Amino acid sequence: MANLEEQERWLRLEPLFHQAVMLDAVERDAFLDSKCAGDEVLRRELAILLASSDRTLGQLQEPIRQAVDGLTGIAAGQSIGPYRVLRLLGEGGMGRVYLAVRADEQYRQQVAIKMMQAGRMAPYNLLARFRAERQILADLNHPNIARLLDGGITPEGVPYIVMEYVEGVPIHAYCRDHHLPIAERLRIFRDVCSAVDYAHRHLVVHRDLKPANILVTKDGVPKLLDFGIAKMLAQGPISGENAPTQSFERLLTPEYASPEQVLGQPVTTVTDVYSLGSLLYQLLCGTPPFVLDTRNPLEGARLICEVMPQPPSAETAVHPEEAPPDAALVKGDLDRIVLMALRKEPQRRYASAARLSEDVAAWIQGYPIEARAATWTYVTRRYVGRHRWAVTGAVLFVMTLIVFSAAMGYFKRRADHQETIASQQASYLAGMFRAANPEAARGRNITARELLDIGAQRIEHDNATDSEVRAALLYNIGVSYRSLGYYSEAFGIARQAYDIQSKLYGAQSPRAAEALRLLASSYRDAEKFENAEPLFRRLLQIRQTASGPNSIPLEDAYADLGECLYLENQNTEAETMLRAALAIDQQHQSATGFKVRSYLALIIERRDSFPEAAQLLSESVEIARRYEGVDSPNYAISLHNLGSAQIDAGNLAQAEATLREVLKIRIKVLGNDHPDTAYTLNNLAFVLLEKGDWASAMPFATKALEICRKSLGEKHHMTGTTTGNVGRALEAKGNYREADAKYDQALGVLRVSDGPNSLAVSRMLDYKAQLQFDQGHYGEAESLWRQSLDLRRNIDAKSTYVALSLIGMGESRVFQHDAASAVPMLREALELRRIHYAATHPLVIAAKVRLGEALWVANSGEQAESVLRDALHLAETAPYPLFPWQMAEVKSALGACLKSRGRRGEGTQLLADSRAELTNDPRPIFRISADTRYRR
Amino acid sequence: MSTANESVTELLQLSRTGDLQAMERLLPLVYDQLRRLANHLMRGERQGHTLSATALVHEAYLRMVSGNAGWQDRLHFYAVAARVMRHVLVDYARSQGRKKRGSGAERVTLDDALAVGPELSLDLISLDMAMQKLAELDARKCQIVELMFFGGMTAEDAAQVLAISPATLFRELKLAKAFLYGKLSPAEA
Repeated sequence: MANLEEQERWLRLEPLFHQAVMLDAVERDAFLDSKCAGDEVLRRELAILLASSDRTLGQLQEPIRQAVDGLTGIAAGQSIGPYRVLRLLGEGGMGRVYLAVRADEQYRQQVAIKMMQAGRMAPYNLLARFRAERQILADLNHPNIARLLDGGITPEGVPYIVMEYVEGVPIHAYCRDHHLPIAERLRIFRDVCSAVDYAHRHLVVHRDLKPANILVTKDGVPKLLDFGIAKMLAQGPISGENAPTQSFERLLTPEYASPEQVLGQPVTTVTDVYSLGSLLYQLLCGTPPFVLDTRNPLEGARLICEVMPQPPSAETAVHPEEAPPDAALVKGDLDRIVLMALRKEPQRRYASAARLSEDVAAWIQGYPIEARAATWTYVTRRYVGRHRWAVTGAVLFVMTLIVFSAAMGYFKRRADHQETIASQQASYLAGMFRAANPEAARGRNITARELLDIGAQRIEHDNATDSEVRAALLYNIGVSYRSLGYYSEAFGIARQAYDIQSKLYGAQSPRAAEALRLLASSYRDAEKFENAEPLFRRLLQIRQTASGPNSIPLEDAYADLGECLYLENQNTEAETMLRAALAIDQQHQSATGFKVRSYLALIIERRDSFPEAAQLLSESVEIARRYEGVDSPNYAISLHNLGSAQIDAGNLAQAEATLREVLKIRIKVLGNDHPDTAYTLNNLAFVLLEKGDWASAMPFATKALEICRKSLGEKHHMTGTTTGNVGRALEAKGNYREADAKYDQALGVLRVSDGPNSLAVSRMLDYKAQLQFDQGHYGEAESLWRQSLDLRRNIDAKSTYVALSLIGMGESRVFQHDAASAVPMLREALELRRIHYAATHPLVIAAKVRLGEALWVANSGEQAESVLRDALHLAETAPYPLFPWQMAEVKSALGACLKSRGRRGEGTQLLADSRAELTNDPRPIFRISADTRYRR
Repeated sequence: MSTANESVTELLQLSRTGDLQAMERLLPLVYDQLRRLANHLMRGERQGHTLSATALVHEAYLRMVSGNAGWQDRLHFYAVAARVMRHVLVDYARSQGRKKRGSGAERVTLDDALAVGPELSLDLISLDMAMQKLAELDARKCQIVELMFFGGMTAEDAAQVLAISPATLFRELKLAKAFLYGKLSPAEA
């Protein structure tokens, strides 16, 4: 018991404490001096109290939390599977999250482990379902999604998942703390949208998007947590008995819940769009759309389901410190965007996170936004309202979005008088999705591919469907196949659509033309140019008569044919077509303008017209960025082309940077296994090989090959080409035998895919020749180069490829001590390259070096010196710096030449410089070449 | 509704009106219930546990108090449960301390822990002792801490239970907090 003295002191102390607490430090001292004069104990105790008066309660409560942890949960040091728990990170409605490290690995990766509240999961087949979900989530690989790393079930039966540990702050706190203006907030928001959209395309719905689940790292990168996890917690598929209030209570943060969640209706991708709307609302004005009283769930449910929130611009003053500094800009279109995302009826919101993001991008760029296009929304609403089919779950709905949005685009154009067809098609689609019901598929995950196959199959065996509807369906399924990269399926389906449309409306009709374009494009994408070209010509003919002289359809037709011709290397006619398209585009700036400029630039650039090419290319990149955003496939295409142009210009360093950017976008947008991703990987590998960096090239080449095999087949041109590049990487590494095997394999593929006399085959012969040459087999090398030369002369005697073979042959001759006969070959090669490239182009310089070497060995020392000095001068003044190995070649050739002509000092110096350039080259053949090459 | 539950409700109502006997009978009931809940959680018998002191108390309330209990009874139950919760947790902390010593691990005393880091690192037993000290000087302030920390009550509810205004409660809490920090800080130890 406290003694009387203590009691008395406490009574005196309390009022003094409350007075002193209001004072600042200096005043406090004076206050204590005056009030506690003579009572040192009182003064000391008061000082102690004041010292801790500013501390928060949190620390005092910590031991309580720890004890509860110990009693009921997991404490630090305990293990969950192979992970050792470090501490509790937080606690939410779904369970607790711990910070842990993987204990049995060499690297100590920090992870976040989420212990599920198993009681909240559907009892039905709990564990199997948990495992299946986990697999889907593990496949999500996106820079803005915290990765799911692992998962399991504790011996007590509590499921847990292991996620990437993200160090960051919730998105709204980040925006507030950094006083971010609207534009910056929107940038982060669009990253979030891109992550959500990515997940949707992988058939995963988040269901619980809210600021607390979106952390922003110190670098400003948002990361979404808990993807799809909410779904694991939801009730099983048979959930009719959920009363609204139950659903409401189930949600941890009803502020961000959608009406359909509150009502216990199916949750779809558009549910996430709603939550994104709530998030955007809060980012723009600092407060969520609804602030609910948790003690009155029914009123909360009513608000969410029935009351439209105030526009965000009306709420910016509620928490001004949370609102952006330029909040005045919210009024108007941003209000409309947010409110469109927050519409009560799912089908009236943005159809996808991508669409929402695009509208935000349009606002940023000052373009008209979709949220204003009321007529179209009205049409959709009316349409969907009449066909509310039973979509049982998120998986189905995502698929509906892929095919259905294509269908909707189609209906939009014809909505006025085609409602019957539209509704028939819709019920057909509904049937298709019912057939793909996961329960019917015994719990497997339905892929987009499988769903399309089901659709295609059904329509082939379905005679009851009206042929007009059939054609529309076939067309849409074809579009989906093509967009997923399944070209052979696409042109099979597109041809059927085309046949029906031609029969119904005539071959010249716009509808038939549309199907024709899909068919031709699918052929072109599959690189079946011989099939594609005549179809594109027919399409152009139709459009020339049926569409206006300056119409976009006509521009498209010119552009399509031009693109196809370019890909077939028919550059002259391709240029004519593309210039026709460009002329139309300059009148009204359509979105396809970027493609026209890209290809035109590539053609012009081959004629050595770098300034015009560069101008067109930067225009095309800019158009794609503006019209479609940096995440769009078309932006990637234009950048990809810029990369190709940079390769051709000899600017490999810039090309590498560009291609890496393209790769990043393609992986993000198209995924890891899309053929387009393989193209970029392949080109990147090519650039790195040219650079001499085989170690970096190898993984890109292997990955490209893997994708091509899988998605294009063993016999595809690209599979052959990428096999060759893997061979080149192996060769550079010094694995000659394996490399040769790859070249033979590639030759086998390309002889079939491209024909025995094709350019592709000749390139592989080059690789084989170079391999023989590097091993000192100059005779074999020469004969292989002779074969490639013959093929190339037959195709185009003036092409740069001919120069390549000539240089190889000439060099082989030099090494077989027949320099005299090599000189004319190398002269021809140099002249050919000068036709196509600028004087400072690395390929021209390389040809000069070879010629100089041959002249020197052939005892024409004076000529040799002049050619080589010229080469060095060009190399030193080239607009794009040469790679070390290229520079080393020039210097060692000139050095050796000068030394033999009696200028030992200058020659020795150049040779030393050359060796220095090569010290870091990873390729064995290059490390020795500078010394051995000129020892003769 | 079982008779046991009804009796808890009755006891609550009686104890609230000042019936000390009712309070004495109530405490062990609540204590048992909380212990049982905690034990179930520990053995993983009941999946889907909600994991905080507040949740435990809430859970006990749902199990023990019948639906016809009034709002005042609810507050009162929480007040009782907060007291009980404190005992449960302190008991647990003590048993953990014994387990540690028993298994040969070195016992970390309060002084050691404070010497290690600049941050306050306290255990529940020290907190409990500091709260006892506070109760000797000023029972109500200790009760505020107990209601809010162990009972998980909001300031408003705690003020209701103690029949004081929220403003008064905040003032007293400020002093209580400072007192506890003072008692637990290295200088004092």
